[in-house]
Amino acid sequence: MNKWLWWGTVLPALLLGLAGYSEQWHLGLSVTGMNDQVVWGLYISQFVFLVGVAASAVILVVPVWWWGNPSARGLLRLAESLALAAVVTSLLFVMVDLGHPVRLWHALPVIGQLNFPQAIIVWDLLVLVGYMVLTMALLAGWKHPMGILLAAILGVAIHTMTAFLLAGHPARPFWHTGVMAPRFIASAFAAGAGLMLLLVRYWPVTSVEWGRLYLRRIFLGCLGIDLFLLGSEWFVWFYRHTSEGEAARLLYGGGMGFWSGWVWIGIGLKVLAMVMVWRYVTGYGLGVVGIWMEKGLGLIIPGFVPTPLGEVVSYWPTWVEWQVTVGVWALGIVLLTLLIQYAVHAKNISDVAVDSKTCSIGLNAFFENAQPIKNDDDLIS
Amino acid sequence: MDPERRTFLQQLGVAALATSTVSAPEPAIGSMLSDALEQLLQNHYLRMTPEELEKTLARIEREVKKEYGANIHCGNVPPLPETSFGMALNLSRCIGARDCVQACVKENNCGRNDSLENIRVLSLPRGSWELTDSNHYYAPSHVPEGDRWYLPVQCQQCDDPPCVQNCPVNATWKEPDGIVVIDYDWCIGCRACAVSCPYWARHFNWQKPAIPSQEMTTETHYLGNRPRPMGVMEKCTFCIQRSRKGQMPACLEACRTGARIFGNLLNPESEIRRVLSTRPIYRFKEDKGTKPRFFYFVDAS
Repeated sequence: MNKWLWWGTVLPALLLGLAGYSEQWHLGLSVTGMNDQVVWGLYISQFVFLVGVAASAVILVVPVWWWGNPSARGLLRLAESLALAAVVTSLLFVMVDLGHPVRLWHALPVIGQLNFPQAIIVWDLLVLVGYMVLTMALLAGWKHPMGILLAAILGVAIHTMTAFLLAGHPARPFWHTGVMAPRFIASAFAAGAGLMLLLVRYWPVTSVEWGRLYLRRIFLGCLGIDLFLLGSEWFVWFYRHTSEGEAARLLYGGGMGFWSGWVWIGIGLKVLAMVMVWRYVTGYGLGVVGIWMEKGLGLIIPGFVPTPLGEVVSYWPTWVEWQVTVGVWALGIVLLTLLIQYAVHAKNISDVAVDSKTCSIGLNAFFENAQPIKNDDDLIS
Repeated sequence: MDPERRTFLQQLGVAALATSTVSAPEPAIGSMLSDALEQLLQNHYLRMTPEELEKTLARIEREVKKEYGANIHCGNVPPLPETSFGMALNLSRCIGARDCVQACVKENNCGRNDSLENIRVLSLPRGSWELTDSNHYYAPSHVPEGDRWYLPVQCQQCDDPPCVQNCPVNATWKEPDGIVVIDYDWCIGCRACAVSCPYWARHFNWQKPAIPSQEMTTETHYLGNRPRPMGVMEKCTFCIQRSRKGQMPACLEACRTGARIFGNLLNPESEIRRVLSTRPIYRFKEDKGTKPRFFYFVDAS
């Protein structure tokens, strides 16, 4: 893509976001569409989606660590760059959501006060910050198999904690389900695989055929699991009409108007993407957008409607809210571009500290298109 | 914090008030700057030294004077010993007049611009407990309407409050007298507490609260009805500024039918204990594991 065109798109988006945030800073969160009924909205839905993208690096980190496949290593840096950009952007979305951002230091250890281990937000922030630091270290070239194992564990942990952040509230029956975390992981891996397959066109490594096939399988398999888990939720919500299932019945039954349509379009896009990828090996973008719609506002709003006191209200993100959201996304895209350029220029695309002789358990044959290891110099121990 | 220290602080606060009311000179730019800096770096309520707390209370009074033009006293009355507050509400008597709502807004200096109310009265069709059938915005020419019954809901002062569990920075906690309070100067405004509350009892200051200075309740408490900053949570505190001085909460005093009963649950002679031991009672959404100290009951017929 033309460099000037690219900056010409991103810079105005950044300025737009800055203008929106400055308005929010002065007038408070009243400039957003959020209210006492729907206390989280567009910002937190972006946070949830992006933590998923960040977590998806696991799908490459694990095979590289476990099977030591050299052609998977070619994509590892891409996954790590995407993960770091996504985790930073997700944290920015939490920050713009705060009513009193100057008091952020209250959430620092020692000088602040952390409600640990009670508050799930604290768990989530701890693993997110840990994951961010770790991804930075890995991108900077820290070579230790332990680091990669840790990245795999923390990758799953960040999205599990984000799910618990929503699922831990009996007051919010739409979220109060143990299926939340597995569903999050499944849709996150699908979204991550889809995004990586879109980004791979801009990735300078050519021998990524194995990676492409592998990511395609992850995309299809994880979307399938995601839809199966959604079906399981539907059964519980619809088999008996309990008051706990009220939000789901409103959402999927059309009672939430625009947002009912929104969530059905999201689900439709996911199904369409699965069919297209399965038949024609394209359509990843549709799947990613579908996940963004369903796991974003399609998940957050029904948590609040009806309210614990039975009020059915609506939520519309305001222009300022969209401005800030576009701005934060633009910042994330700038960061991703810089990280990818850094990763390319540092010429460390394939230098992963994994010795396939010790790590591989001979499952390479599992992926029929895996490239054979040409010589030992390929592997840095 | 131990009660002894609190009493000490209270005395300090009274002393500070005495001196500050004698002479109130115009604040200089320098002191305004230092006030802003102090506000930014202010410590957690439970971690402040008596001196810091005394300075903070005085500063809050200055700030309210500057921003609202009202002379308030910001106190810090500690919890009473051997006290655990509870409230009971007689549903047979409630006629849905919402006297309590208005009195609460006035007493607790709630922002009038967001019409922020810490009590919500639900109007339900007779024979139904289905909350989605409730009308929150009923406005008939006179109450009660024959075919409706009324359910006032506010903070249930849970013994196991999910809001406290979910606050990432300990900005909200349960006091020894059972009142769940918020340090408005420590809250970061993440709204996790509001997400976790099954009673929809937590309300956010989406903008700076507008309070007409002539309507300002001037006798305030740090953890209670002092004007809140923009971007923080607030809730019912059983009128902590009143109840800790032996007065009744404003909602109770305002109720024209006397539907509310308030008192010390640890005192076997109290009226609330008499109600709890003689009437069938109901605790709202007890199945959420919240252990409310708010009890609903009906007249025996």
